[in-house]
Amino acid sequence: MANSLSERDLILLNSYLDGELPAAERSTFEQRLARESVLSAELQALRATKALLGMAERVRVPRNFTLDPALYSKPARTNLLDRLSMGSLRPLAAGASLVLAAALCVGAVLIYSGGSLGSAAAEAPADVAYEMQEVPAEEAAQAEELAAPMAEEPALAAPAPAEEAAEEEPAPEMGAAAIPEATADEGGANAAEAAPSPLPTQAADLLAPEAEQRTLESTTAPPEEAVGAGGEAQAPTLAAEIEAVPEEFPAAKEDQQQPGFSVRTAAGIGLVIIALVFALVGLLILFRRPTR
Amino acid sequence: MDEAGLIRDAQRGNVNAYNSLVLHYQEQAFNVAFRIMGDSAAAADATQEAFIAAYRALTQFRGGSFKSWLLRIVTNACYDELRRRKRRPQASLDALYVEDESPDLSLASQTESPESYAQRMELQSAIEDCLQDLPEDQRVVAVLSDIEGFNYQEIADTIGVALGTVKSRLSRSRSRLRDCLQGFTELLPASYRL
Repeated sequence: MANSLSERDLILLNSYLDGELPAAERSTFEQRLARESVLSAELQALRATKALLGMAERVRVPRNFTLDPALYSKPARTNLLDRLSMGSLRPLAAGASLVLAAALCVGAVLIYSGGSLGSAAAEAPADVAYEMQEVPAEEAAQAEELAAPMAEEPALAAPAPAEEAAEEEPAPEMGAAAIPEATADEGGANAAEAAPSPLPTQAADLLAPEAEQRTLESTTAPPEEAVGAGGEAQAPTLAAEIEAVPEEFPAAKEDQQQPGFSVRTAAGIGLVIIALVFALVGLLILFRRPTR
Repeated sequence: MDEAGLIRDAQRGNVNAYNSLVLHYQEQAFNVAFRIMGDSAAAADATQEAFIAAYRALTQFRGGSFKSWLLRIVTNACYDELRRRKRRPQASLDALYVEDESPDLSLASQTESPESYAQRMELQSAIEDCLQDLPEDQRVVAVLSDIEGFNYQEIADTIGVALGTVKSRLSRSRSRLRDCLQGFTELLPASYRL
């Protein structure tokens, strides 16, 4: 019987039987049911089937399916702030957070100022060099006196040490010192007076005798001997060390070249931010009321 | 029963509130599972698993019909168990020793004759056999519609399919059930003979 009906008709029959057919379709379908005996017979069969299934008896549950509270009870969910804000833990947690925040702030300041100290330390050898330069200044004056008569000839005879000095002086201050050095070669002690600022003056004080010492010794000894020639040769050695420091520590050199974008500054700012977070947490613990 | 309040409390971890919901729905859940599984012990296991799974997933319930949400978990638990059985068919050793594993149906009234009781039990058995002959997807729809009394939309919500799918599955399942039950004509009451 059902084989003569299309699947669509069967769906319509079941929908009609279950009261799921819209009103408009329902009236149309009822007209068809009145005309088509096959359709109405199938409807009776489906109605009986549905009624039979409705006679299926309820089955008693074999047991209760309740959950054991001891196994499935979970503690009321409280957030960390709530837990820290409860009882005697509250002042301790708040104090710890604030102390930690303060410590981080101090650390940030130390790191930031440490960056400044670091750059000062990088400059320190230069200061030391300047101090060291002052010591042989008197000796340099004596050397100038000795060098003055020989100024023209050694300058022509020994240009190599002067060139070496220029090559060893990549830094601006040393470049500035090279100018009075040249003038020292030309005009002797007047070169120091012609220097534009105190720093080049000191450098000139240092390098003028150095260059002259080299010019003096270059006529008699190779440059290596001049370097290892006792206290008077300390100045060029220190100058070489001054230059060696930035090469050994490129980061420090970068810090000097880019003072506004240093790692230390970034670390200091990061620590300050973390400190602010801890301070906020501490204040929240101190003044917040737990939600539960 | 304040279902919404119990659900809210259960979502906060109150097991007693959840157990109130379990007690309210356990019979329906177990009956659906029993009709799908066709076995009381397996249905009990699936129902228990479903209630545990529902409790663990309770925070994901975002309103709507709790009954549909719960029975969807029950039907899924039944599907999982049926698939497990298909992969690894196994015979229960307990079945060898337990004489009667049939579910405890409603007791016959004292006025019911033994013949009437026997006929009633045979009818229940016929319905159960015909249901078990259906494909799983059609069986679930038939159980929810004709035994549990769900409307089409509730069925669609419970098993998570489109309304048209519910209609076509129900149409096919009823046709097959009609054909199956015709084999038990002598058991059927006169008014229900097909």
